[in-house]
Amino acid sequence: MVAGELSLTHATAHTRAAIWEMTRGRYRSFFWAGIILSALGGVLPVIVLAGQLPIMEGVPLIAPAVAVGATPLALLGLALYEHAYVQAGQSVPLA
Amino acid sequence: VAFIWWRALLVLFGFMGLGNSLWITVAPIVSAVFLGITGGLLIWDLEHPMRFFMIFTHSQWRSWLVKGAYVIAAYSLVLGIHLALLVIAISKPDLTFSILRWLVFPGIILSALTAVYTAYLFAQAKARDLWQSPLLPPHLLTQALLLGSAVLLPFAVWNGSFNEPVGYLSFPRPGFPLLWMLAIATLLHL
Repeated sequence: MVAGELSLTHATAHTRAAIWEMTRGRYRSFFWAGIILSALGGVLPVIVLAGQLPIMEGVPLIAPAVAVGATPLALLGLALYEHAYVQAGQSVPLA
Repeated sequence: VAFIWWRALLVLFGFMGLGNSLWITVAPIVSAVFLGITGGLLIWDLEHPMRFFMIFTHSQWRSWLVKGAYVIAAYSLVLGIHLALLVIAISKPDLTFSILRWLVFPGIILSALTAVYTAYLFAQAKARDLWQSPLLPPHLLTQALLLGSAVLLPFAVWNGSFNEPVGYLSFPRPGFPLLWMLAIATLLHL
């Protein structure tokens, strides 16, 4: 969804400026740290779930408790992303 | 800023069985805590916090701030009833379960509305073009599912939801659907 929103053609110069501030400007470190942490938070449960699939028979199971590590990653990642999104939306001067 | 993702935490319904403590106790208590924080922040952020009650006594129905306040109030009521039923459950467990089962429906709708109404509030800030995205409502709903499942996950491990059916109304191993929800919501959000 974030990728879709960023890659769509933006109707106004204000939106383009806000997206630039979020991804390459003042809020880029919050934005990219948020994306990376979110991605890690999403991949960790996938690894645990993949181990449960029938085709993975013979491969040692990963305990579901390992996926708890995704909780702080997902929470922090989203908080950082939201900070970048909300701040960038207000960063473009109105006049 | 922070209240946006705190609010997203409020959607803490899952597809575990009705007998599971994740839904019976953990989700409503965590929801009530974060709803209280959200309400406090919203009131503190007003220009005149002491006049917050005027949102309800002089409602301006075109404002999503007002509509959101009513959504939050309605969801608080559902959570309040749920928590009150937990006390009654000590003496009348059967009655409590039958009411809680029906409370799921307004709970799901109101928790989703609580998470999503911010998109409409943002859309009313016409000068902020970034926030005019029609993707914002599904975006916030996905975030709510992500955060709800992320918060419940440690509790699911703790209460044995990955091991075996818990309670006679439970789905088997409800921790796994929760893990699927976290994985799908997190990756979909990206």
